[in-house]
Amino acid sequence: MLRKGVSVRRALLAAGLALALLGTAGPAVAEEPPVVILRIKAHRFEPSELEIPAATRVKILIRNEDATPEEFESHVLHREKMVRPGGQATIYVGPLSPGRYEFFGEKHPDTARGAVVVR
Amino acid sequence: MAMAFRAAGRHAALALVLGNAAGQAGAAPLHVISPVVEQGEVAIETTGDVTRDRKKEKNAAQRQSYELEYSPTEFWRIEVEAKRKREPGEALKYDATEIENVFQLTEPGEYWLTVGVLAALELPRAEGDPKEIEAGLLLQKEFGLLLNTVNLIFPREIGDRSSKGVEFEYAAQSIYRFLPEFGIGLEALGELGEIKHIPPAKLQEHRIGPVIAGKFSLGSAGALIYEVGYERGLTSATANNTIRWLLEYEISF
Repeated sequence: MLRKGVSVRRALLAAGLALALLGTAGPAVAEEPPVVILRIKAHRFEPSELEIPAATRVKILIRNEDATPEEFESHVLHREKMVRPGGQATIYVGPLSPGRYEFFGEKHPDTARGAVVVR
Repeated sequence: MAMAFRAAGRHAALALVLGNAAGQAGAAPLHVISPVVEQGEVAIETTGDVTRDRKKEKNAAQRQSYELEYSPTEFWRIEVEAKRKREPGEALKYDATEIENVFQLTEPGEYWLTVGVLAALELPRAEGDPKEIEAGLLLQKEFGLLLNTVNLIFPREIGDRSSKGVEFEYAAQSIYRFLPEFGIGLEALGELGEIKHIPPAKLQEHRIGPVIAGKFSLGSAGALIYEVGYERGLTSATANNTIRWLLEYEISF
């Protein structure tokens, strides 16, 4: 049963802060994740397959070398990111199980296709 | 609806005011809010709910919201919302304008949770109604294709006509995204009331039920997003049945 008054307000505030802190908790030993670079050139991803280790959080830097925007999108990775022409965007993926995780460019889905291959 | 948006446009001069504004005082949120912002995205959205209950004082209550959203940066989304409401036995009418800000604090996958905050201001149409401000914590966590979102929201009436202190509302949703176009899950929405005088559970509003949701990509022309939910009331203050919907068109530039 909920207690009324100041104790409830404190409990809710504490719960909110605890969840926020939990959200920003990193691994026990704070480490920068490995970084891989993905380029967008001539409406294609280079490389078209990104190989990353299993059970590892990885930072992907997406660099758009085209003169038009591209939107990185992947249903299986649940990531969606607009990358400006000449710009760069960052996404994090993992830890992932071994397998193939496809992504595409929403602005040029016929040519901008690729996959994260997890081994 | 055009009149509602013209009124919303006048209130948009206050677009950068941070504060708390409840959607409806003493009413559960209409839907969960994602903490994820995509820079350059523009969206129009309509959402709403309608109740069905044998008791006429809880039957056929309806809320509708029409939103215009824009994300000027990679961490900030702003929405202007025109809200209509129908109490049981009354006509549907324009109720308020809301200006809502979502700030994304962490990138998905960067930490264990994706965290964002909500800050909103509601300006009522009726002269006698109080303004409301709203602050909230938006949390999201994915486990493979299972996407979980929780909102903890604290609305408060402000100004001379205010009569309530800080309240607490929540929205939670867990959806398994089988396909981009279709996912199915469970959601719960509710409100406890004023935090310093929390009423007995039977007077709080809590509902839970299934939801389907998905996104249809239109390629470079954007995407259509939908959600449809059906919730059962869990307390005597909640309508037995609530159907809610959301339809959004988004495009990124």
